[in-house]
Amino acid sequence: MSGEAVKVVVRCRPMNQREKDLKSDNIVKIDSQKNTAQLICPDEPDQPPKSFTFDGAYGMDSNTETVYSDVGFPLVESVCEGYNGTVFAYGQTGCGKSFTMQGNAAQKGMIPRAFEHIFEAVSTDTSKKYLIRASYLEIYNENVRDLLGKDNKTNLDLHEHPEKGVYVNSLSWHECKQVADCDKLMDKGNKNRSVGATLMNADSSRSHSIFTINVEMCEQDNEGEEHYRAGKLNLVDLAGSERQSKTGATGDRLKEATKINLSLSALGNVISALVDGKSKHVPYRDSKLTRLLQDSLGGNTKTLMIAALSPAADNYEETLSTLRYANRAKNIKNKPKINEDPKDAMLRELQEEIKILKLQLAGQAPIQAISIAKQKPIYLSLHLIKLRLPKNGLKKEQRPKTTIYFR
Amino acid sequence: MKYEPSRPSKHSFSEVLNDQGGISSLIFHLIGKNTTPDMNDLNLIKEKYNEYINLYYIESRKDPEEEPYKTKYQARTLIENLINNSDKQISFKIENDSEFICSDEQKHLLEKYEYFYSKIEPICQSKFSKSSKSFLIEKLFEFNLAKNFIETEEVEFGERLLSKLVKELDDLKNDKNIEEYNPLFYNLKLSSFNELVFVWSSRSNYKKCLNLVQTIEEIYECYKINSSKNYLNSEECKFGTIPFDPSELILLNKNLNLKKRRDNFEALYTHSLFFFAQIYGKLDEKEKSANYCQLTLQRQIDEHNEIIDNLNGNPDEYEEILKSKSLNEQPQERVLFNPLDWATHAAALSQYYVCEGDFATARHCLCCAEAILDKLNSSEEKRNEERLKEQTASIRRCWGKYGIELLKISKTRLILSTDQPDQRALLADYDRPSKFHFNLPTQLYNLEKCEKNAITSNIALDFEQAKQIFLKAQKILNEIKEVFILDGYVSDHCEIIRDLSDLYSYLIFYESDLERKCKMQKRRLDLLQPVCDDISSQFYLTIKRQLLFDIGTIYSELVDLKTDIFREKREKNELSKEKSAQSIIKINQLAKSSIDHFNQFLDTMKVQPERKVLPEQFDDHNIRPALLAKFYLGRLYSKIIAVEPSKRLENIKETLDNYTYICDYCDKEMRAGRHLAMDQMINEYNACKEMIVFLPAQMEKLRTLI
Repeated sequence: MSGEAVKVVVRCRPMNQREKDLKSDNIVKIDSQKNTAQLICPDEPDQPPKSFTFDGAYGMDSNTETVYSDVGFPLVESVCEGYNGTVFAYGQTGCGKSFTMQGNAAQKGMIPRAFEHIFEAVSTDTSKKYLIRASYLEIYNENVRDLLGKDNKTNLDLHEHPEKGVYVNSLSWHECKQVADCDKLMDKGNKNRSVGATLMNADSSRSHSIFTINVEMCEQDNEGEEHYRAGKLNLVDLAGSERQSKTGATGDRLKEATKINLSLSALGNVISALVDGKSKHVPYRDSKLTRLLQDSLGGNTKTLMIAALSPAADNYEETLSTLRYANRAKNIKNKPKINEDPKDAMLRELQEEIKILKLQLAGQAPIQAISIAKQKPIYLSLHLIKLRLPKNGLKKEQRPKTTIYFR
Repeated sequence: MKYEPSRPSKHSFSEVLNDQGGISSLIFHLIGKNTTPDMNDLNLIKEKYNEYINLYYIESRKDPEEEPYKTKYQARTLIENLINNSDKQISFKIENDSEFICSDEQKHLLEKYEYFYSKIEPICQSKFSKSSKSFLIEKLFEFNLAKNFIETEEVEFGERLLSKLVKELDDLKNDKNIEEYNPLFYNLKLSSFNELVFVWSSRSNYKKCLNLVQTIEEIYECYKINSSKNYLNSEECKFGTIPFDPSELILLNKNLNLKKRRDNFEALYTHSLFFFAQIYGKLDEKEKSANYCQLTLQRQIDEHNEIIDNLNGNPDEYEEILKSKSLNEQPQERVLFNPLDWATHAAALSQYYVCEGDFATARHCLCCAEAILDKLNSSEEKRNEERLKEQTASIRRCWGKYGIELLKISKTRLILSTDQPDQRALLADYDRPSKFHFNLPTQLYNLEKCEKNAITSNIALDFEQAKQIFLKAQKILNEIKEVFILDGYVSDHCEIIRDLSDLYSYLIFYESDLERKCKMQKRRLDLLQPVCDDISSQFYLTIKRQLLFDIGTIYSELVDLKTDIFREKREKNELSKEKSAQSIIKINQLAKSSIDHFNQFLDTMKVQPERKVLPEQFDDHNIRPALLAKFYLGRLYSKIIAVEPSKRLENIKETLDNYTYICDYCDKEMRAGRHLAMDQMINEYNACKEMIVFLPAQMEKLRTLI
């Protein structure tokens, strides 16, 4: 495959202390050989579990290193070669999303591993000059804020530039010379993020955030000419809830909840709209998140989604919802199809030609070298139709002309 | 006085009236004992409850980002305390207030209030060992608590609490007859179900939602049966249904009248309908979903008629008005009315009807959307002008699609009708009316004026009619192109450009003159080419591919048109030798341009190493476009006019290579057990397969000429 499809993996975290104390049942079964996740309904334990297959499935005892080498590595590798890559982290509040992405002292997360990977690749390749820069932004209530800028309260505008793609006006970019620089930027940005403490989770993200690493490389060819290329890695942390149903008109939910989900559901809208493909215009504005990541969803980007799951029985419905969401992302092609007019004029033309060739072979038509004279154009056989319309059926000025020419 | 369930009677009510004593008069005797003297004072309970509502709905808005639920948690503690410390035997009583019972309406209201409490008293006692008053107050609190849990991301607990609540309310029925719904908690029950639908739909469990939808419809049906339309007189108050406000489970609200209570209840149901629309949408039951959308929109118009009457420039203002409503009633989640949103929804809905081929209904939706937009845009007190301008343009884009689709369907139907003896079928839908009408205020929306000026809803039967559709749609698209300029709105701009090009392509069908057909094709190129050259294929890969494919196709069509003109003229001996040579050069140039663009299109699919080769396997969605591009290439090489046999041989070789590629690709995929390529390309495959047999023979013949 040319790698344009979205890869989706799921990872189930171990029981946390609260769930252990409550003696929660484990209802998620991961088979990392078959890449399946099975979910048992706690109310109907005898029923066959719901089963989902992904591009990867990682259980409680998995470590982030494996996840990274399986799915993270190839993606980051292509970034270093000048392609774009996007990693989405998705999951309900408290499902171990940050653990997988950021990691902790015991296990390094996907993000620090990606940093190390990039700098290692860069330092071993002396044939090119590299410039690595990073930016960090969050989308909160449909406002885009620079988490690393001097003023992180200003709402920044998006701009679609014909040559440069979508960019955020006056977003700050910071040069990174080593892994520690990236870590520092990430830490700094995280402090500025809208993280809210809820009873369920000490810090649940209230906003979407995108950390972007831009790898620009400059290479001299044999004639001494310089060639520039740039790869981009987007690390997207999706806000921890998908509570809002779609359509522009939202119920009078809290403004905050509404907006968080506006982005998430619009992402779903994009995906569903792509399946549909019918000629129509839906006048809803795409969310900022969707617009910012449109080259990940409709351009040449490798896209990976990591969905985090909780094993506990009391999260059954939410876990099921996450699995369904992930499954949707996997099943549905994220690239819009090229619309070609289903006119088969070309085909019919060729079929005519074949007919004549066959006649020639059978000796029923004079043999000539192929020339344009023989290709009978379809629309020269114009149909002449006469429309017989009821005399009183139409108002005078609306009465159609009686003769129509067409192909 | 001993509690006796009884029909409401003038007698018991007059006792209330006559009791002008200092303390509130007790109609029913207290059974059991008071736990905390505080907690059976209804006024005090009401006060506490208002405190909760104020915390939850108003104060919580000020919570800092780091502690998003701070006040909600605080409110939660408060309501939990209320539930835990509640008195199980709070007696039914009505405040002594002569002002309150000054009208017949109020009189009937009180009777009912009393009657419906008395009706459930025995069941409450036997099933829950509580007085009906205590029980219902508890349910009101539990509803609020459940909502609190759901809102603060502890959905599971909230949902269970709600499910238990609605079940207990059901248990109050004497039998399961649906007409037994008690108006005291019509509102509370519908609110609870709405909340449950919300929970289950956010869990994407739509099957479950459908069951809830059914119950909600039953509740509403039952309410409707028991209430007449003529709801403002006191008779109606006597015999019809009064959907009491949930907060009235504590104390009657003097500020509410029957109309207000019913309006609130209807608004609640509008919210349900809005959920239904989404659920059916998710279940891919498009027609049902569209119907519920339309109902929601219609009810919004009915509910907010006075707002629409006085529209001015700031669409958000009305949200603010609605938000600032007093908290005296149970705050209710309404489908907020924002005129700009309304117009957006109506326009989006139009696209559904366009897809269904119902242009009359689509046009009505679009005209209504435009009427609202006109009003908003013509106001002098515009705020948020940028957003209004963008959204207006975005909504008007729907007309472009409408025009394209109408021309497209016209074309299809005309072609179909050629095979049919009776062409009157073409006129079957002529002047068919819209499925529904939104009741916009007449000064805002003049049906005659709006719809007469808009694009017709009838299919085009000849060039003149097609041209009318074309011109109107083109005018709108050209206007909004100025809003969505390329630098800043690349995706939107490209879409609009492509729409304009599509419009031409359908108009061309109606044009019979070949030269004029050519001119229109050139217009399409003038639209697409500059944009295609300007945009980066790294960031707008899909758009770029689409444009390259479009341009390749247009050049190919030009090749055909020019070839036909050439042939026609030659047959009529109108061509001098010189002119003839010129025409051939032109045709070959066009073929070359087409080939160029299809090659560029295929280049965007190329992969490592160095992005120079086509992939072994295309992504599923690219298979047909890529192979079709190959097919075009094959055809185009066979259309190049060459005199020297060596040149001709070269071209046939190219044709052969391209056809072979298509066949090899499909065969290879089949061998690997993948049918998609073959399924999608079967007709082209068969034709290519035959050509592969013929072409080498031709090449052989040409070689003898060299």
